[in-house]
Amino acid sequence: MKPGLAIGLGLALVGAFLASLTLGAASIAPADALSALFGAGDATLRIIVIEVRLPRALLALLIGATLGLSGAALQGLLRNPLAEPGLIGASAAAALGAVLVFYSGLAAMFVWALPLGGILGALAAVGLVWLLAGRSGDSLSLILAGVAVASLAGALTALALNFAPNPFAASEIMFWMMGSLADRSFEHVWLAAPFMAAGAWLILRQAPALDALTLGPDTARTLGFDMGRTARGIVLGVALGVGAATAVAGAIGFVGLVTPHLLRPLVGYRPRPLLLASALGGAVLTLFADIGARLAAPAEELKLGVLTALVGAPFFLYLIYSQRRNPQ
Amino acid sequence: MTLRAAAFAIVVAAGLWSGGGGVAAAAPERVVSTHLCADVLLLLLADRSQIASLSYFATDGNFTTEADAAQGLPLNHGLAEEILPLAPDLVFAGAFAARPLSFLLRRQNIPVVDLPLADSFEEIRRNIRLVAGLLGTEARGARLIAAFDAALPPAAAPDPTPPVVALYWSKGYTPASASLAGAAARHVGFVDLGQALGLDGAARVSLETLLLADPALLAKAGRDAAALADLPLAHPALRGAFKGPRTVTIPDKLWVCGAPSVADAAWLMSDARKRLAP
Repeated sequence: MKPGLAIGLGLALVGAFLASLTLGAASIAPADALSALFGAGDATLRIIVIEVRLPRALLALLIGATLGLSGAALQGLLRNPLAEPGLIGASAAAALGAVLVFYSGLAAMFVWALPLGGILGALAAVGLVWLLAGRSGDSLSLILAGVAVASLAGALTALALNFAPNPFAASEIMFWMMGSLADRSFEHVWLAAPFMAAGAWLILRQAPALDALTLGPDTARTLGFDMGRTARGIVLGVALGVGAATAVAGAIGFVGLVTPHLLRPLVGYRPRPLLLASALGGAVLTLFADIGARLAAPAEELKLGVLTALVGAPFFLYLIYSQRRNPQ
Repeated sequence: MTLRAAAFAIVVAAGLWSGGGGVAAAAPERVVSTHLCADVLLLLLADRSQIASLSYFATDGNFTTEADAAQGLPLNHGLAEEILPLAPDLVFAGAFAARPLSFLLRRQNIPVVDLPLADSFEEIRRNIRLVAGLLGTEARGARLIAAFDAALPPAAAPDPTPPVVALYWSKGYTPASASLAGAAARHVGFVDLGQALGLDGAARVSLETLLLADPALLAKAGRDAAALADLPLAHPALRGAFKGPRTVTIPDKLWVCGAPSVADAAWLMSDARKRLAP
C-alpha cells in the first residue's frame, strides 16, 4: 500500500473512532468523553464512555474491517467484482445459525454457541456457493447461487423467529436482516474478536496467491501456488470472520462490496495491498454508518444495514451499469 | 363522569346490548377469552366449568401468575374458526384486540365485552367488579377485591423529594406514569423515570440517558426466554452503575394485567425502597 493511502486511511480511522466515542444519546462534551476514557471524571461518565460507547466503537471497527477484508478476498478468489459476504449468502446464513442457537436458549447455556452458530451458517453458505459456482468464475451462476442461498437462509430465519418462545422474537428479524450495534457490550467484543482475528489471519496468508491468481489460475499454479488450498483458506477465513461478526451484529450488507471497489484504483488494482486497504476502509465506513444510525433517530435507532445499503445499493447499480458498458 | 369512564360505560353497554339483553339475566355457561388479562380474571372469578376457552398466552408462565390454573383448559388464538364452534354465550376481548373478530362475533349475536385496560389500582377493582358481574359471581369478586386491598403494602408517607425509580423493560422501554407499574411505584413512595424526565407516555430510554439520569433504583423486567429485546437490560454497564440494592428485578407477569398480583410487585418495590440507603 502506498504510504499516502495508508496515512489517509489511518487518519480517517482514528477520526471515526474518536467521533464514535464522543457522539451519542447522552450529550457529553468531547473533551470530557475522552478524559473519561482514561479514568478521569465522574463514575457515570466513565461507565457511559467505557462500557457503552467503547465496545460499540470497537465492534464497528472490527466488523467493518472483517467485511471489507472478506469482500476484497472473495472478489480476488472468485475473480468476480460482485462477490461479497452479503451477496453470496454468507451473512444471511450466519444470521440463521446465530438465530437458531440464540432463541433456542443454547447460547444462554454455552456462550461460545453464538459465534459458532454464525460461523457454521456462514461456512455452509460460502462452501455451497463455492462448490456450485466458484470454480467456473462465472458471474451469473455465482450471483444466482448466492441469491438462492440468501433467500433460503432468510426464509428459515423468519421461520425460526416465528417459532421462538419469546414473543418479541418475531419482530427481531429486522435486526438479523439489517444489523445493529445498539446496546452491545464488551461481552460481544470478546465473543467475536478472536474468530474475526483468526479469519483475518487465514485470509492474509493467501495474499501472495491472490496476486498470482490475477494472471489466471493456470499461471498461478505454475508459479507454485496450490489453488485448492488458497480457496479453502479464504472460504474458512471468511466464514470465521463474517460468521462471528454477524452473530453479534446481524447481517450488514454492502460494506464488503463497496469498500474494495472504492479502493481498488488507489492501490493499483493489486489484490495484496487491497486486502489491508479494504480492512481499514471497511472499518471507517462501518464506524461512520454506526454514528449515523444512532444520531439520525435517537429514540428508535436506525439499523446499520439501512445506512450501508443506502450507500451501497446505488453504488452496486452503478457497478452493473458500467460493467454493461465496458465488458471485460 | 370523566370522559374515560363514559367511554368505558359505552363499551360495556354495547357489549351487553349486542347480546340481546340476555346476559344480565342468567349466568353465562360457555365463556371465551381472547385476551391474556381476561384469562387471568376468568381463572380467578369464574367456575372452571364456565370457561370454554382461554387465549394461548394463558399457560405461559412468563406472562401470567395463573398459568398453572389454566393447564388443561382449551386455548384459542383469537381466530373466529376456533371460537364459533364453541358456541360461546360471552366473549371477552382486549381493548385493543382483534377488531374484525369482535365484529364477526357480534354479527352472530354473541356478546363481546372489551375488557378495558387497568392503569390504576381503582381500575383493577373496577375490572374485577365488571367481570364478576358478567359472570354472576359478584360475591367472589368482592372477596378478591378485599384480598387485593389487604395484600397491598402500606402507602408511603408523602415525601417532597421522592427517590426516582427507573422501570426498565424490554427494548429499553419505560412505561407511562399512568400505568400499573407507575401506580405501584407511586404507592410505595417513588417517582418514576418517565415523570422525572418529563416523558410523555411509554417511551424508549437509551442506556446512556438512563445512566445520566442516575435514578435511585433500577427496576428491571424479568423473563426467561431469550430475545434481543432484553439486551439493554442485560448490559454490563447497568450492573456497574446500579450495584447491589440499587437493582431489583420484577417479573413481568406480576403487573402485565390488572389483577391482584400487582400487590406482589408493589411489595417488591416497597422492600427495595427499604433496602436503599436512607
